[in-house]
Amino acid sequence: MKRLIRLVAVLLLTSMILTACAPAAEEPEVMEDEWGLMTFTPSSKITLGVSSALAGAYAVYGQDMLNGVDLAIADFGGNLKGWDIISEGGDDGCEGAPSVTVAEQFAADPTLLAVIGPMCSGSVVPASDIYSEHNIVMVTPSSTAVVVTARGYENLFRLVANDDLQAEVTADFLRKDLGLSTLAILHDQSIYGQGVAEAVLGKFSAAGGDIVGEEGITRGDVDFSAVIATVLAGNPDAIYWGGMDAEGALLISQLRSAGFEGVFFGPDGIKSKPTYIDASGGAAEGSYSTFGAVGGATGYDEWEVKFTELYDAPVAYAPGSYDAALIILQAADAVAEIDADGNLVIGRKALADKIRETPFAGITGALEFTATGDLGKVSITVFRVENGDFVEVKKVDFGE
Amino acid sequence: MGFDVSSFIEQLINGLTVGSFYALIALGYSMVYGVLTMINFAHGEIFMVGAYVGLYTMNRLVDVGLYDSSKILAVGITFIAGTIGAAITGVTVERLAYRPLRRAARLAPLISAIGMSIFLQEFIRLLPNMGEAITSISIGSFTLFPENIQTAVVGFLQEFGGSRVKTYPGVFGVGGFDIGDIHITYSRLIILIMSVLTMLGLYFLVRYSRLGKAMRAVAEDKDIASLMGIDIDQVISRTFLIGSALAGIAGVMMGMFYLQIRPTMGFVPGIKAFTAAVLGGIGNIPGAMLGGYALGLGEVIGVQFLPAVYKDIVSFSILVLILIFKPTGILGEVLAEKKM
Repeated sequence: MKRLIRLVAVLLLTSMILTACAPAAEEPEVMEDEWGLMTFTPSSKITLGVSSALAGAYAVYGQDMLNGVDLAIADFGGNLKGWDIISEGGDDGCEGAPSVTVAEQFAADPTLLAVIGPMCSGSVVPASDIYSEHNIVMVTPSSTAVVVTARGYENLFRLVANDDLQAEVTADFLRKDLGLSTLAILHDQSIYGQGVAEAVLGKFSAAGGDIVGEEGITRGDVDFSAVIATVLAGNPDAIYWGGMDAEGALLISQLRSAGFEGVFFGPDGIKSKPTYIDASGGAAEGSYSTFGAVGGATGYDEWEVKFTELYDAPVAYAPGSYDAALIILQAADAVAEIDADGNLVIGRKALADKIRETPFAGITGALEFTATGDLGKVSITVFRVENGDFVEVKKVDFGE
Repeated sequence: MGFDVSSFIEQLINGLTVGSFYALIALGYSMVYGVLTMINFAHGEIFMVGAYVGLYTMNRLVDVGLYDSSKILAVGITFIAGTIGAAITGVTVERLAYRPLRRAARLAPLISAIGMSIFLQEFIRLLPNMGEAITSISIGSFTLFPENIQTAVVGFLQEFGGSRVKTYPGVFGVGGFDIGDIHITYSRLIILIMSVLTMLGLYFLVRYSRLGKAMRAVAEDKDIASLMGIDIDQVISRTFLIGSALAGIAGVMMGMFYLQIRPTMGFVPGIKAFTAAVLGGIGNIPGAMLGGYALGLGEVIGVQFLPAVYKDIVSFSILVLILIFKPTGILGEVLAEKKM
């Protein structure tokens, strides 16, 4: 027994010495990364995951995002140091639970480089827990809820302003520019919709306005006559809708036919010509929406022509997804190295840090990230629907 | 907020309009349950297909100018097309997905129905993509379809389906009239009248026609009915035809009333109509009508006293309570005796 123990001890000692010396001797500049390394074998592809609504009511946005990413891959040349890049869509239905499944599938994919999306705040919040656990970089082109970047995740970035800014501009516009004093709030009970609606509520009453009603509706519902009657009983000057285009278009047309003549205002979720303005059958005329954007955009018009030729007119988040994909690919290109076996190796933290510290001149603007993954400089634009299209009426810059 | 009589009456009218949709769709659930004792969960999607066929037809009528010259004729043709489209879909679904499972365990057709529901939804959504994929098949440099055929097919399919929301032209307008303080829009009135007429027609069909008698006989006892010389498969098929036609009418109506249609539009009304069918007593035709209106009214009345968020809670609580305390529904007893 004693001999056996001695033998084991000697073996252990030898192996420890060996492991300690060997790499130092053979490969002096081995890559290290606090969050671990991604290794792509020579036959591997590089996958960009796109988590979004690819089926169901909001599929039009998800397809738009995928198209944006595909165009970015094509413009990047289709490969990164010789490794082919592909996009892969994961359908999260703009909801929490499926987005977690998508995140787990992506995390299990050894060819995954990073994720664009999820699209909706309701998906980003639970899915980012998974991505953060696996140290996967995610760039959402669209999630605006305040809570998203408030949790200190270093792997998370977004290309839009948060809803506090959207709410501030909205409340200010309603109170000062339009001089309105009473407001009713409707929302779809989602993290996004209710979040932005309550932020507007807070800012509007802080600016001295009266809130005369607050009601929630269910996504996917089509008849809002009951809730409309309740809200109109408070006789509001304006109604703020916290939610998406599909319900927004129904709401505005049903509000107008119920005799409401005041202002209808919504967040970026309704800023879609085909699914809000066109789907409202003309009722959206004169309504307002905000959209977060960044100044200093370069080459957007040429990009839009190219995109439209390839797919269809961009709906909402295709430009953001395009920029998100390019940001990831350029940073990956800068930090990637090829090891002795011919594998492509990318450090996870190195990728995130590179994204954070590199300003990017994108088609949506000059993008610079803060430590939390929010944009440093953003602007919120107020749009009014005129003659069936969104027309810019006011622009507010933040940051700088 | 005080109690306001005129707004309460307006709400009742709103409830009746919504109830009309529920009732028309609930009838299909109930009729199918009557002859097959299964819940056709694809029924909401048949309703959706009706709306799509209707819209496609209407857009073509706008193209040829008939919509501008005679609105009533165009609307009529749209309704007929939507009804036929939904009826064909319903009969096909029965033939392909339910008939082969006629002798299978009870859960099998139910699961098949859920599968059909998902299939139909995704089929309409992916139509343009499928068309593009199929017509662009090529072997080497040889393409299976010439380019002009490819663009024509894809163009047609994009007109017909796809993931984007499609919009009906505003047929009814937003106009209305006032009785005292009560504001009634024409569209709600038209929907109420149309659905009541449709349901009366159905009632007389089932009550007095040969087919109606055969349907009731099959619902009562399949084996005895077949001994009496009734072709069971044919009766089941016609039941699907009529139930789906009603869903098609509801689909076109909903498109004209709410303007937007999308591949997922059948889900919520489908579930609500199922609730209505259970509420009225599933398998019972007048029960489905009653259940539809009761559910529509229950929702708006519930929202008078509770926050509007609770609208769905009201309707599904009704479903749970009915299932616990009176599983046969409001007109349940009639079912056992007459199987109407």
